[in-house]
Amino acid sequence: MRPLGRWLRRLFLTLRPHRLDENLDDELQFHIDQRTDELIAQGIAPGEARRQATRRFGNQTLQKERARERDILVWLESAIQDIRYALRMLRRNPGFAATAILSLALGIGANTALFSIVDALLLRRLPVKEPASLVRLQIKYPQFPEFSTVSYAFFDLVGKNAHMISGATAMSFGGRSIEESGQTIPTNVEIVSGGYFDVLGVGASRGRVFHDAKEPIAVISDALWRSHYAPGEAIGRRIKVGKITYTIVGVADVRFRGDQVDWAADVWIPLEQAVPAGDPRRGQDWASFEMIERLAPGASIAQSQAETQALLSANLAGQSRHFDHPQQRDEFLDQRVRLEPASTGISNLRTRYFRPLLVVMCVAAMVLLIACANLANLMLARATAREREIATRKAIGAGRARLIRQLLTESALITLLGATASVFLARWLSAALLRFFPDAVHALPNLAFRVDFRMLSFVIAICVATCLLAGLAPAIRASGPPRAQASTGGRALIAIEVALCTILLIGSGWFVRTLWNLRTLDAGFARDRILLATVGAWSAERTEATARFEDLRERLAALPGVRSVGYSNMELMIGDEIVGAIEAEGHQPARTENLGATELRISPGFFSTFETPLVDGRDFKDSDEAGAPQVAIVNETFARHFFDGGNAIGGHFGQYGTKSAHDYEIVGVVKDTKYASLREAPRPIFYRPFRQTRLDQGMVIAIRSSGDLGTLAGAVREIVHQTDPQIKKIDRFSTIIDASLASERMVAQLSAAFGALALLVACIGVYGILAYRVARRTREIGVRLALGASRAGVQWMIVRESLALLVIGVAIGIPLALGLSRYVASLLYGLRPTDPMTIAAALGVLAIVSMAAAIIPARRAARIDPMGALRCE
Amino acid sequence: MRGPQHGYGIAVHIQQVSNEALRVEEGSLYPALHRIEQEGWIRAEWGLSENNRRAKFYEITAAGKRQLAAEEKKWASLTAGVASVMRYA
Repeated sequence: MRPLGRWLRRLFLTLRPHRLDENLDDELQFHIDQRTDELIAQGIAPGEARRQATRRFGNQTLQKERARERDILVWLESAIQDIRYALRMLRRNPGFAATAILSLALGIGANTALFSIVDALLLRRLPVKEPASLVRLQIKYPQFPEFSTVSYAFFDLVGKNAHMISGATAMSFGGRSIEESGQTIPTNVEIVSGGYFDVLGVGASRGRVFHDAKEPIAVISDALWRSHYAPGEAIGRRIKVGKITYTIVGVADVRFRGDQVDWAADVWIPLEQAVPAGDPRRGQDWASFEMIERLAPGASIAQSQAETQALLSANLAGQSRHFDHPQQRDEFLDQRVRLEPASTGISNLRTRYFRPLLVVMCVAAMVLLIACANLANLMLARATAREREIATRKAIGAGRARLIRQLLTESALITLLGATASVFLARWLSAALLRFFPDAVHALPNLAFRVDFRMLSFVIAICVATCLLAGLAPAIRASGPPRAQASTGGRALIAIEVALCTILLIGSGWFVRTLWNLRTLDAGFARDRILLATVGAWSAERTEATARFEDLRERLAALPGVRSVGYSNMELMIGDEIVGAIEAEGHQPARTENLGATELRISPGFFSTFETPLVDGRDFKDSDEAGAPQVAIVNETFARHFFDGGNAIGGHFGQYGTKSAHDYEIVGVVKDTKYASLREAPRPIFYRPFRQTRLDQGMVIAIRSSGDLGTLAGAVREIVHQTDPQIKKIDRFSTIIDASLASERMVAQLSAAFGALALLVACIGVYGILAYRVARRTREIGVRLALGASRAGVQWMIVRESLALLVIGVAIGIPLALGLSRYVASLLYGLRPTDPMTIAAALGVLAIVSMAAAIIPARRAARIDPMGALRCE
Repeated sequence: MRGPQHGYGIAVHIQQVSNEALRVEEGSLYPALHRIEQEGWIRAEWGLSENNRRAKFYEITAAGKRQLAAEEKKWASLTAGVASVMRYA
């Protein structure tokens, strides 16, 4: 027999023990019977013959056991026994079982759900060939603080001249919908350069991918193919993106959804067609392309970066003679290239949610830890109650390892049941979590809960950790020599739970306060009762377009309930901005001074719509037209910075170095407002009347109303629809602000929810240990009462114990929380980690809960009948 | 001894060929039989004994024969070694 076959046989026999036992008995009995028969045949009396035969055979039970051990898998048999026993214990204590399983299910489920999002956003590699050698290339331009996308010209330069790479591809966002036989399908379109599929190493599951497309063709995703086309139907169909019609030539690999984690692409169209040569988007100033390269074999990121930087610098130096101003020239030359690994794809959400997710993940881990401590504690208490049983087992020869194994089996079983429940919970929790990512709606196909190898490994790892954490201490403790004071370990566990709860509560206090501070701070603009409608550009020429905007504004202002209407070219709280260097009359810039200011082009009525108060001077008027003197309004920070805090009204400024320093005259100063985010420090902003500027990008119409904004939105749609421009989106301003607080809200709400859960679990823990101790001390309390202790005194004795646990836990928890605070400091706003209010609130909640947990055991202690207590046992 | 034998038969055989020199508890034969059965050196089958009773019969396998030969060789070299040492005692 092969080893596997023998093993299977033993497994089979282990699972069918009755059959095996019968056979063994038969075999041994046959031997004794034969011997007996032989002895009888030799003339010995039957009774005596049987006695002799039995004696010669020896210890029948022992030999049977020994033979049996050879036939079965002993470890498996004892494991089966342990599981049976553990199941029996759980059935006998349904309350204990339910609490333990539920708290573990929540703990494991929350961790799993978070892991699935963290994995998708931060860890999972693109389903492409050798993702490790892909790099993303970005440039830092001097006027912007962050690295950003590159121009087509730069892509072309690098693609043609770099030797450290084996290929480069440029990508750009191509739209949110396609048209297919007259029908609009919402989907994400990506414009990609010809080498895209080759550089990434992605093939087609049907048809083909494109290389250097000479005609308008497109590749679609497997998901789009499955949801919109019958099998075999897609290839050859025509779809319209913008004004161009593309022919579908292939379906990409099943798992491939583009290089962007933040939006799952469904359609890829060639850059060569979508942005043809001569298109302004191919110009030097149009830096809107993401770029991915594949490093040549053996090349490092640092080498390639140095090479690319040299290419860029040489190229810039060739153009720099156009500048006559040295600072401007220096700035122009100061462009830095950065290469970073792109194996996990491109994502801005990743940067935004990295820390918040890490915090929430730590919080969830702490909740699981508390659940483990609680379970360990409950098992410890039960193991102590089973002291006699365990002593008996040891007396009849059970080894210590065997006892530890038996107790661990119980925690393993609970963990397993909890984990099973958690899988269902995790799917649901993950969907709930994703609702905290309002800006991730296009990333959902990438972020959705997915059971895969990594996920399962993670779940198994935390299950093993849970099982050991919860079961090992009680098992070792219980199997060792009995101790007089049995619950010290239990109280230590409770103190740890309280300490973890303290950290969680203080932490959630920080995040809730941060959210509150951001929601209530004076942003310089009103947040409620404002509707924002983004409209596209007019195709009409300038004066005509201006007149139409005027007309539209008047018609919107006439709507019922509308108080005020204003336009701007950019939307607040989104992050879109035009920042340029400023040269102001009478201002001598220092060498390293940041001269950047944000420009916003607005109509009259903008400030009254947002209720931004005018500090000095006047608002724009209808007479600030194209032919009139060029005017501007600036905010307080602008006035302070460029006019040295003096009176800015009447002052002049213009764009830096274009000999236009006196272009604009300041006619008003408004209060500082937030611009891109509520967290930002005040920035210099200047406003220009839209009639004196270009309006080729469309507008954001802001409408302030005292009526219902939902009804208003409908009316606005209708009015705008009658005129030329298309409404791209329409939102409440408060919704947009809420979206900008998404990560803060996620951390605040989740940490508060997990804090509450942790508190509940710890409360059960405190209750459990007090109730258990009261039960153990029944006799002692009876004696105290019989000797004249008051019932109030006995109650206080129990409550005091709970308070002692609280004090120890808090004494550990507060310093730990403050120590951890520096890792979250960047997430906080408007408060310091040592904020006494937050700490006091956390302590108050903890005190109330630990008192509440003590009430029932304390009352039970006080109700003990002294005579009954003394008589029992 | 040829062909399948039940445990009792093996016990009797050992006693006879060893002239009752090996007298151990007869029952201790069974754990040993079950062990070498698991090793795959013998195989077992239930059958009927001479007096028509259900009995478990053991038979040596090819692997068992190889093992036996190997063990015999080891035993022979051991006894030879011991004998040569004894000669000088």
